[in-house]
Amino acid sequence: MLKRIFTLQIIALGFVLSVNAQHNLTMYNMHTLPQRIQVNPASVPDSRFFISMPGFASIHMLYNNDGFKLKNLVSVDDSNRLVVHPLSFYNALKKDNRLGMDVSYDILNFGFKMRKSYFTVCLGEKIKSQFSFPKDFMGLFIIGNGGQNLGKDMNFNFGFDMMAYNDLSATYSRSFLKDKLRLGVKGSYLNGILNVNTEKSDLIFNTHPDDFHYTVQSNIKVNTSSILDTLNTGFKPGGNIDFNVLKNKNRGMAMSFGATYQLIPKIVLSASIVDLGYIDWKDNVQNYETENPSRKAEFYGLKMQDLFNDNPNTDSSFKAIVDTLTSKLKLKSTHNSYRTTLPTSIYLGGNFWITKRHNFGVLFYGNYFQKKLNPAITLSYNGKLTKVLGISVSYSMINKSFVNGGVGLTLNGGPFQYYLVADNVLGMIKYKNANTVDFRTGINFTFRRKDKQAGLSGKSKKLG
Amino acid sequence: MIYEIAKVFFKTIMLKKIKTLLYGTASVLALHSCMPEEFNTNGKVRIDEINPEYAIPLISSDLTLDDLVKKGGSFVKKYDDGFISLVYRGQIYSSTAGEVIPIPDQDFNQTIVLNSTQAIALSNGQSIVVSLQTNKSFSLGSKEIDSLWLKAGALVASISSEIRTGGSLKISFEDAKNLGTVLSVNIPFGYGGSTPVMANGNTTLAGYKWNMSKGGAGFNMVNIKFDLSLNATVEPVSAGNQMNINFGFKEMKFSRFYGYVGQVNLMNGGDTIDLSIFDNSSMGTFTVEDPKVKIIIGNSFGVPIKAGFTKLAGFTSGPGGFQTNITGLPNPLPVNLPTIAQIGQILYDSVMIDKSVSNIKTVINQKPKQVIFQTYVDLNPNGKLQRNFITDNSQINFVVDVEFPLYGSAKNFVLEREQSAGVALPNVDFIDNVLLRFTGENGYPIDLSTQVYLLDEAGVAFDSIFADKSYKFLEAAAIGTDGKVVSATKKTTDIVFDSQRAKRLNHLKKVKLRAELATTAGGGTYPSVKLYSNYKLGINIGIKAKFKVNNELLDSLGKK
Repeated sequence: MLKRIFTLQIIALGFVLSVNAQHNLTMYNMHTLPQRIQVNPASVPDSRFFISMPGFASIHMLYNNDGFKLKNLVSVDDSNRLVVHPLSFYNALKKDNRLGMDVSYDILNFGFKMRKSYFTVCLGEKIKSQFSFPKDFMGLFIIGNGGQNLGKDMNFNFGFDMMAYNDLSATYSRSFLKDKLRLGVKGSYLNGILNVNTEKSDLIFNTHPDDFHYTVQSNIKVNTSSILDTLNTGFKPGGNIDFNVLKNKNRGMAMSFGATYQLIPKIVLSASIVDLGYIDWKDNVQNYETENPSRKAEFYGLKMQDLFNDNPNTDSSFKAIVDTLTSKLKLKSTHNSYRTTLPTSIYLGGNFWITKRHNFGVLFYGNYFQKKLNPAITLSYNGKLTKVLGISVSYSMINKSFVNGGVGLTLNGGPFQYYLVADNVLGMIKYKNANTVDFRTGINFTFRRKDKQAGLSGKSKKLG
Repeated sequence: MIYEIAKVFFKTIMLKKIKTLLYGTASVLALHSCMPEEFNTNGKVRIDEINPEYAIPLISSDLTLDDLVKKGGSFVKKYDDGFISLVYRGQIYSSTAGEVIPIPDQDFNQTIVLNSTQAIALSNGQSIVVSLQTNKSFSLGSKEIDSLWLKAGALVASISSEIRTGGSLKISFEDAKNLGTVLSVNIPFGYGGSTPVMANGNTTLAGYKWNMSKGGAGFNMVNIKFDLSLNATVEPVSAGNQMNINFGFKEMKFSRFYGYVGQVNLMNGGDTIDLSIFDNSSMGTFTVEDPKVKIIIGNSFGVPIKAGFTKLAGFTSGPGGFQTNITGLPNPLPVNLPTIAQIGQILYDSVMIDKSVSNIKTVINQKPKQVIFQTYVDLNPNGKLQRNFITDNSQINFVVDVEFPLYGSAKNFVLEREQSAGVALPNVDFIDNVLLRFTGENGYPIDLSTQVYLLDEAGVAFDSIFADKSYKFLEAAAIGTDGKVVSATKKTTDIVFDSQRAKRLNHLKKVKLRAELATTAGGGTYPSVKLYSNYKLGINIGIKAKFKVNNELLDSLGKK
């Protein structure tokens, strides 16, 4: 049995590389899955008690690329040659293009129902990383600075953000109004491990349309923090770490709120706001910031005097240029603690229950991070087909992509439950169009599962 | 009703369809996710052609007159109102006094003879001291030393004695002292059983100040004292036994010389001043309204001096060359002498000639490439009229400034220069076109026409940048009623090289730059204009190139 589980896990992980998925959009409505509580504290699973398998509680991976799709960059022609499409790639890019990779891993997760209340406790580790690259930088090489980019402020604002932290959370929800209304709250204690925070990374490059002279101006602020002082402890990647030097002052908290409301017996509305929180980074902090953001470095060309005197010396001219750039775009280094917020997600949903085991859902999703709202909308069917099989099928629109079809499965054998959620299965078929992968898998042990608890309350019993 | 139908539908047909869909989807995924076609090509890569266009600022300049004309020994002189002169400077220095007024070595001798009393005393076992004072004179020709400060040299002495005993000889020069210590040399000697008894000694002269004005002629006098100590002896000593003393002063170097150095021809030499503004001129007229020559004479000799120029002329060598003397220079030139209290200091005097006293304007407007001059300097030209004082570093120097106050006119004044250049372009047709952009801002009231010829290895022009040889690159800046520029003129010139023309740049080895200057005014006249220090000429050269990046380019790069 264990061997089969492992095999299943490996296959599931293999899907990650090619499955397009979304941000827990399918899981939100999987009423057979306890992990749905993580995206709405007011949600409850169909079991009175669950405990996730330590070590396999939940592995969640999210790859997100809001820039280009593979088909924009390469294709294969009739002669079986790889064809690179630089211009198509460039045109597909947005002003800022983000590649994100989040990995979270739950070590411990359990929950139980007590009268009208539901409690859960979860301990997990999370890594959120994001690399952003500007369209302008690619444009510099693909279309150059002499055509339509002449006179334009090209911003080479590369960014890299990474946050690794431990998350210890407790959730409590309770029903009100004769079980029509359920409210939930989750509190998390966060312990930061590593952070790279690109607060600002503007590097403006302009080519003047009259004489082609360059102007460069920077406004950069990057903060880093780590529990390990890699700069001063002789840390070498791959070497042994002296755990005595680890520090533990990177602390933070997060709150999540949720609600469900049974409007009429067949319609349940839900809403949640997840990960409203922050981490204060204080361990081994390094801040790198442009000393004078208003300062501009200008390059008009090599000095004619240097080129046309009796002993032309271009080396000194280039050195002078480099010196000027270095001094005008100089970064200063400080050690001030700083705060980063978590990417907060908002869910607004509605479910129409056909039977006590089947419903259709609509879900509006918004993720707010770095002053940008990334919206999505999902339509889903969610059903408990048999006592063994629970399924959700979703269709989402996200990142301006309309081919995100998701699947969620729970397979129960007695209390044993294996689950797999991948939002963007359609992307596997049309992987060239894919730009998102969201995948979650794990093993739970669920007890005293009953259909009447599936949606919201005992009222659903009438549906059968 | 609809609800009931839907419920049945879901419980029966839809459930089966969903199961079928699930299995189907899983099968497709499993097959499809095995190998994306992008990873299953024949290894060849093709790229869609792109045409990136890059703009690069190549050269910039913000040229003041300093940058435009400064070269070698020239500089720009600014007046309080900002008006500027271009000054070409030449300098010549005389030898130093230490080099031209040597102190020759001096040799003297003296004999000391024992009388009978002294001989008997020695024979009776007594030691004795024989003292003698005398004076001698330095042999210096016409030079006369009142006093001398010595920085080097040596006093050397030797004895040859027939007196059969030992002892010592001290030779003292009480007029020569170093911080109170009298110059002297002590020569010990001993008798070894045979005669003559020989011995010698020496001492340095550095640091001694020697008064040679005591006694006799009042100069060159050397007062000497000998103290001969003889030990008692059992050897036979007779009256008439004598000691011969030879002494002298070798390789003397003075730091100060007081007296009279004689009549000395200190200098007969000259120099050449390059007027680089005319180096590259080939034609046209260039008129400076009021050129000047200023001669500054620096002197630190405390000696009457006659100095002047035997030649001052504008000069151009080679075919079409000429030499025209510049007149109006006083002869001799005024030379400022230091007082005795100023010994060692350099004092200056100067003289300036301009068009009011000289033909300098005519000469300069002939555009000579050089000014040549010859000088002479004589010390004590009229003999011994006063006492002299010099240091070893005393020197006389002439600074000759040929000054072009930049008030003048130019008409078709052409400057040409060749400059090495070269570009290496790949021999593939990946350049769509190249645009050279010249942006200029002229703050001078002078029209600038220009041409740049592109020369091959044989020096043959195969292309030129501008349309004609006198392309009006920048118009003269506008002048206000006060004669000063009120606004600069700007102009942008684009030169396009198509791919064929760009390819020819592979032949480029040199460029020949041609600049034509003119102080043009309305009506075709060429009035004189004044140039001020705040005038600038800004020229920026940028390049914009459009490329064809395609498979052919990649292939060619791959082959390399």
